[in-house]
Amino acid sequence: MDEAARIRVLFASDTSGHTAGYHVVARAFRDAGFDVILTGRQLPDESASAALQEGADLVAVRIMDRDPVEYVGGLLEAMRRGGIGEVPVLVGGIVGKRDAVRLREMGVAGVFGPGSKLSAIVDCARGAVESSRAA
Amino acid sequence: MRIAPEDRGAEPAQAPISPSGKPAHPFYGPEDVGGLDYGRDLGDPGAFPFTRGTRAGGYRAKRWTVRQVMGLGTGEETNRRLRHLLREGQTGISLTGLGYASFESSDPRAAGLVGRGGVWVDTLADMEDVFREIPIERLSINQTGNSIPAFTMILGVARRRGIPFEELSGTIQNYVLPWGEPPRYEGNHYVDLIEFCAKRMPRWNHTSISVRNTRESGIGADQEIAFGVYEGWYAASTAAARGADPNVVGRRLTFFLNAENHLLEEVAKFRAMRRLWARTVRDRLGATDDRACQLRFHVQTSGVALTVQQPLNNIVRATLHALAAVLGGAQSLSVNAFDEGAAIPSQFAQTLAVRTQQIIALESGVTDVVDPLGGSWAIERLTDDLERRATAIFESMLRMKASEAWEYVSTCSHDAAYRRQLEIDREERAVVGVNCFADPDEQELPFTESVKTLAADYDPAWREKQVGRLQRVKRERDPGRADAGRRRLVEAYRLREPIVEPTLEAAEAYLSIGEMVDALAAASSEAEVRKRGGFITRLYS
Repeated sequence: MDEAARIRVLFASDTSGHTAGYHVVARAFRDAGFDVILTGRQLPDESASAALQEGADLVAVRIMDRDPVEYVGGLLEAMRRGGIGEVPVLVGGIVGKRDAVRLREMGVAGVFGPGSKLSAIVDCARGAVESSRAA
Repeated sequence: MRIAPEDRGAEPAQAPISPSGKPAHPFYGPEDVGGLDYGRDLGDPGAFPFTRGTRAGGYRAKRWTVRQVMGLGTGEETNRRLRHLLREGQTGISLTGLGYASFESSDPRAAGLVGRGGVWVDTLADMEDVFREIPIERLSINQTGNSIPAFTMILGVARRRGIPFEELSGTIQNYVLPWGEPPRYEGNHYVDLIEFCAKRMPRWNHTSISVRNTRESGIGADQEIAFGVYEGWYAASTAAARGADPNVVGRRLTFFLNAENHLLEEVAKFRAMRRLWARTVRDRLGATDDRACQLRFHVQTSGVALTVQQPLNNIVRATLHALAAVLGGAQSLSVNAFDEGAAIPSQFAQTLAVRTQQIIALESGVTDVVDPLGGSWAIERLTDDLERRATAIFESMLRMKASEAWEYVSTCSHDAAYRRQLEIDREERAVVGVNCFADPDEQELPFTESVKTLAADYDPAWREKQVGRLQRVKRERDPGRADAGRRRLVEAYRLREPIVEPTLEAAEAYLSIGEMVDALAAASSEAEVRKRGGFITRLYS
C-alpha cells in the first residue's frame, strides 16, 4: 500500500486489564493494513496529545470500567483543544444503549459492542478517515 | 461386535469444535483407556492423585460454596447487594474492585471510574461499610486481585470486631510473578503474603492461581491446565526458595478456573488438572502430605461465551457451564448472570444465578454421586489426552526463563483471542443469536437493546459520596497515628521488611490505598516505578 495512504490508528484504553478485545481489534486493524499504535491505558489528555504527536488519522478507544460519556467527552474536548478535533474517534467495549446514542451525538464515528464483526469495525474506521480527509 | 478404531469413520461434517480445537472421536471404547491403571492414575475420590475428587464424600460431605462475584459503587451499595445475595442463599462472598486503583477517589484519574468496575475502597472505613452486619467469621471471603492494602483492611475489620485472624476463612487471588514489587524485586511482596498467611491464617488460601481469565481469551483447556500448573508451581517454588515448606504452602494454594462451552471436555479438564497438579506437587515440589497435593478450585463460569444479543440465552449457557463445574468437582462456584455482557449484573439476574446453583445442588441429583462421569471411556480418554498435552506444555515452560514463560502465556492468549473472533466472524464457530439464529431486529443496536432488566448504570453520585467519605475519614482519624503509620510503611518498604504487618498498621491508622501507594513510591526509585508501570493494580489478571 502507498505509504502516504496508510491509515495511522492510535489505540487508547480506559483502564488496564481485561484487554483481550483491545488486542483483537488492534490485530484486525494491523491485518487490514493500518499502522497501529498501542498506547495502553491513557487518560483523555494523554491520549489526545499522543494522537497529536503520532499524527494519528483515527483514535480507537476501548471502554470497560469508566463512564463512557465522561471519558470520551473528555477525550473529544482535549482533541479539540489540541487542534485535532477533526480526527475521527471510534469507541468499542461495554457501552450502554443510551450512552451509545449520546456518544454518536457527541461526534463519535462508531460505537461497537460485543458481537460486532471485525470487518464492520474496520470498514467504519476506513469510511470515517476517508470522509475526514475529504473534508 | 466391535469396530476397529480406524474404521470408526471420519468426523461428521458439522462436528462441533471444542474450545481446544480438538474434535473428539465419534465414540470411545475400552481400548481407549487400556493404558490406565486405576490405582495409579485415578484412585478413589479422596485418594491420590485425586483425579476423581478431593473428598470421598463429595458434595454429600460438603456442598460447594455459592459465591457470586460482586462489587458495585461504594461500600454501601456493595453491602446492600451482598446482604441480598446472602438472604437468597449465597454461602460465600467474592468481592471485586478491592484496590483496583492506586489513587484516591478524589484524584482526577478517578473520574468516571468510582464503583463502575467493582466496589471502590479508599480506607478501612469503606471496608467496614462493605461488611456491615455481615458475619465474616462464618463466611469465607474471596478477594479478587491481590492488593495487600485491601487485604489488610479485611483484617482490620476482623480485628475491630474481635475476631482472631486464625478464625477467618477466605482466599486472596494472590500469585507470584517473576518480577516483584519495588523497591527490591527479589523480595517479592506476594511471597510475604504467603508467609504471613501460612503463619497466621491457617484457614485462608494465600494463593489463588487465576487462569480463568487467561482461558477467557480463547486458549484451549490443555493450555488452561498447563498455565495454571506452571503458575502454581512457580508460586510454591518461589516460596520454597525463601524457606516455606511445600506441605504447608500446598494446603492453601488454590486455583481459579473457567467453565467453558464444551461440557465433556471441561469435566475432563478438571479431572486432568487434579491429576497433574497432585503429581507436580509430589514429584517436583517434594510434598509428602497428600492433602498438600490436592487441587482445590473456584470456578467462575465463562464470560466470553455469553452474548449481549438475546441475553436470556445466557441463562442456558451458564447452567451448562455450572453443570460442568459441578460434575468436575469444584469447591466454589460463581455463575455469571445473564446480563453480564452488558454491565455489572442487575440484582434480578444475579439472584437467578444463585437459583441456578441451588437448582443444580438441590434438584438435579448430580451431587449424589462423586465423579459421576468417571469410568466413561470418553471422559477417561479425554482426561488422559488433556493431561498428556498439558504436561507437554508445562514441561516446555519449565525449560523457559520464568519471565519468558509469562510472555509465552500472553502471546498464546492474544493469538487465541484473535483466532476465536475470526472463527466467529467467518461462522466457523457457532454463537447462537450472534452469527446464527440472530434476531434481525437486534442488528441496528447490537448491544443492550434487548437487555430488558435494568443493568446497573454508573451513578456519578457514587464518586461524590466517596470523596466526601474519604475527606471525613481523614478529618476524623488520629493524625499522629496516621503519620506514624505512613513513616513506618515507607521504612518497611525501604528496608524490605515483610510488608503485611506494616501495611496492616497503616490500614488501621486509616491511611488510604492511595497514600500507601505513595509511601511505596517514596521508597522506590523512579526507574523502578517506571519499570513496573505502577503499583498494586494487579487486579484484573
